[in-house]
Parts: sequence; C-alpha cells; structure tokens
Amino acid sequence: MPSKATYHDLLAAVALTVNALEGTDPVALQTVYAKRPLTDEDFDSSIVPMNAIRDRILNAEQRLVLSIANSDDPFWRAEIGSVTDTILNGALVPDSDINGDTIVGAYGAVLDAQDQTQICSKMDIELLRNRQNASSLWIMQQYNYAFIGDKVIHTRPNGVVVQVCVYDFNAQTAAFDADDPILLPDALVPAYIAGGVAGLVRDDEFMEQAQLYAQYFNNVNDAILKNRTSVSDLATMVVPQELQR
Amino acid sequence: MTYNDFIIQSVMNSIRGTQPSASPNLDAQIFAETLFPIASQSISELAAQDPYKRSLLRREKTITLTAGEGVIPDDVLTVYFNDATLLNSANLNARYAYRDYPDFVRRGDRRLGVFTRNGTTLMVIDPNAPFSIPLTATGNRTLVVPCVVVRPALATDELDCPPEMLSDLSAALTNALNGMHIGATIGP
Repeated sequence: MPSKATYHDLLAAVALTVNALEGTDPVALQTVYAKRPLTDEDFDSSIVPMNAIRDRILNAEQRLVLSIANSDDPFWRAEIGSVTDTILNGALVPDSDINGDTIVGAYGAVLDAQDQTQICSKMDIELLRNRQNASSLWIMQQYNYAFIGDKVIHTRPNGVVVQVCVYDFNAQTAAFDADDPILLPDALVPAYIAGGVAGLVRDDEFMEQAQLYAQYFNNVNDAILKNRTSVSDLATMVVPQELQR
Repeated sequence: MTYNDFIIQSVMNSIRGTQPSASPNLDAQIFAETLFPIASQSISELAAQDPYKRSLLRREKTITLTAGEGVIPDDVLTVYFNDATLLNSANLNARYAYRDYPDFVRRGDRRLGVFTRNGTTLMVIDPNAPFSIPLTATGNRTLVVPCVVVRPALATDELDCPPEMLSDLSAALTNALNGMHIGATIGP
C-alpha cells in the first residue's frame, strides 16, 4: 500500500504559511518543519496556536467530505464510504451506518441486503404501492426502491442496505493528534492545506493569503461537487504580485 | 426456458433500437409480468385457430369425477373443447368421445363412453352405462385438451410452452411492452 501523507505533514505546511513554527533561522525552521510528530513546543505564534491550526485543517476536511458525500462520483465516495444496517421495507432511513458512524451527504446505491451484488433501481412510489397491494401478480425477483420522506420502500424480502458516506469528527481529531495518515487521498493534500490556510484569519492577519487559498480550495470543492475526478493543482493558482516574495 | 428468462428476454427485446437509459422499458419486468397472461391468452388463441398448431397446446389434465362430474381447469381453451380426448388410465380399454350436450343426454351407442362440457363442469358417462341423474362415473380421468400457456408457480420454473410458439409469445409480449397491439406482428 502506498504511503500516505499524515495529518502533521499538513500541520507543518499550514503552520509555515502563517509563521507559526518555532525556529528563527532557516536550519532550525527546517528541523521543525520536518519533525514528526509535531508538538506544542514546536509552535511559536501568539496568533494561532497548534490546535487552532488542527481544527482549521479538519474544518477543511469536513467541507471536502461533505462535497464528496453530496456528489455521485463513486471514486471519491469510496474513500469515505460505508453501508447502513439492513433496512426492511417501510423502515426509517438510519442516521448512522452499520458501525454507528454519522451518515453525511446524499444516499448512494441501494443494494439487496442478502446479495449485495444486486443493485436496486429507483421506481415510482405508485408502482411500488400497486405491487404491494396486489403482490400475487408478480413472481419475478424485483429490485426496486423509493425514498419517501425518511422512509425506504422497496421490493426486497430480506431488506436492503444503502451505500452512504460517513464522518466522525472526534475520530478524525484523535487521528490528527496521533499523526495518522489523512482520511482523503493524497491528491487532496493541496486542498487540505489551502482550506486550512483559508480558515486562519484573525483580526486583519493573513487576510490576503487566506482569500487566495480560499479561492483554490473553493475551486477544488466545486470540482468535486461537479463530479470531476481530476482537481486542479495548487501550482496553477494565480498569485498576486504583492504576495510573491 | 424459465419464466424468469422469458420475461427478461422480452424486456430486453423491447428496449432494442432505443437508447437503453432513455427507454421506458428499462425496468419493465413489473409490466411484462402483468401483460404476460394477456399476451399468452392472445397467442394461444391465435395458435389454436390453426389445427396443426393446436396440437402444440394440448395438455394432460387429471380430473377427479364425483357422480360423473368434475371441474374443468380455467386454463383450458373452451372454444376448442370439442377437440379434447378423455382417457381412463385405470382402464385404457374404455374409450370416450366428445358429444355436444344434447347428444350426451340422448346417449346413443353405448359401446363408447361420452363426455361433454357444461359451463366449467366436465360430465362423463362410462362405456356401456346409460345416461342417468345423477351420473355414475367416479375416479380420475385424463383430459387432453388445448390450453393457454400459463405462468408457472415459480419464476425459476420452466415455461410450459412449445419452442415453436415461444418466439410468437415473446414477440407478442415485446409488442405489448412497446404499446403495440399484441398480435401486431404475429401471423394466424
């Protein structure tokens, strides 16, 4: 399995951007920048402490997760994908997955609970009701469903499961503190960093660079929402002259 | 061919020539099943009009007689009931001939047994027996009679339809799914 960026890789990159890392000369700064895991002592900013940077990075992650969860791109969704427990006909759609994690975003495919290679297709509620009210007319296996309000109506005798996206902020905070690999693919590392930097504004500090990074972050976010699997690179971002040093 | 495969084949054929994702028949099994008995009835009647094809529709039905009467199954094509034959599997020497009801009552030559249809009731008089009220024949008889192709009990069961007629039935169901007259492309 390829190695993945860790949360403290992002932390170092974002902290550097807001001058939050300890180290007054290039060698000392490089040492801290490369150190893993980072600790409170590696930070030297009275504007943004370490945990504030962590929270902004995780906020960016939350926004990316929500965009992925609201897209119907299966490749992105698989990164945070899960399934619900078995749902019987007419039952409420659960708000947590089979492991108890909170479901976010749109529902994905509906699968037969017993044979999850059988994908159900959407059908009008009127047809499903007719089928239910005159069930002897049909003997074929039917794989149909409809979401009505907060209920699932379907034709599977042993229930269905729904593919969903999940997110657990507390679990990700713990993963961050442990310097675990990031939740989303490495391709989104620039977006993580941009989103983190975009959130680090205090009074009038870092306003211009926050806007610049927010622009890139929003581009990526929009690309995900529009189901484009390829996102633009941070290097293509137009940097205003006054920020080019 | 199983009923399941037959329904899927007809649905697939009904999609042919269209963009599948835009076809109203993409998930039309539910309609194919409700149309099946109509298509089957229509095609069976068309086939039965041809004396040669009619033989393809002949099915054996075991009917239990009480006081000479038994219930005719509802898949029997009553229009062609006079083409039916009756056997007594316990006594193959007993021969039966169909008679219209008035001739059945008049009885005539007693060397042959006779049978007739009165509504959905099969009435039988055994060889050498007179017409009497009540009738006296009892036990099982085998009625061989043209029948409609019926839906099997399970979708995985074989469809009881001769291969020679299967394509006609499939074409009829495909036509029906496409909103056309069931017999639109089926010859008599």
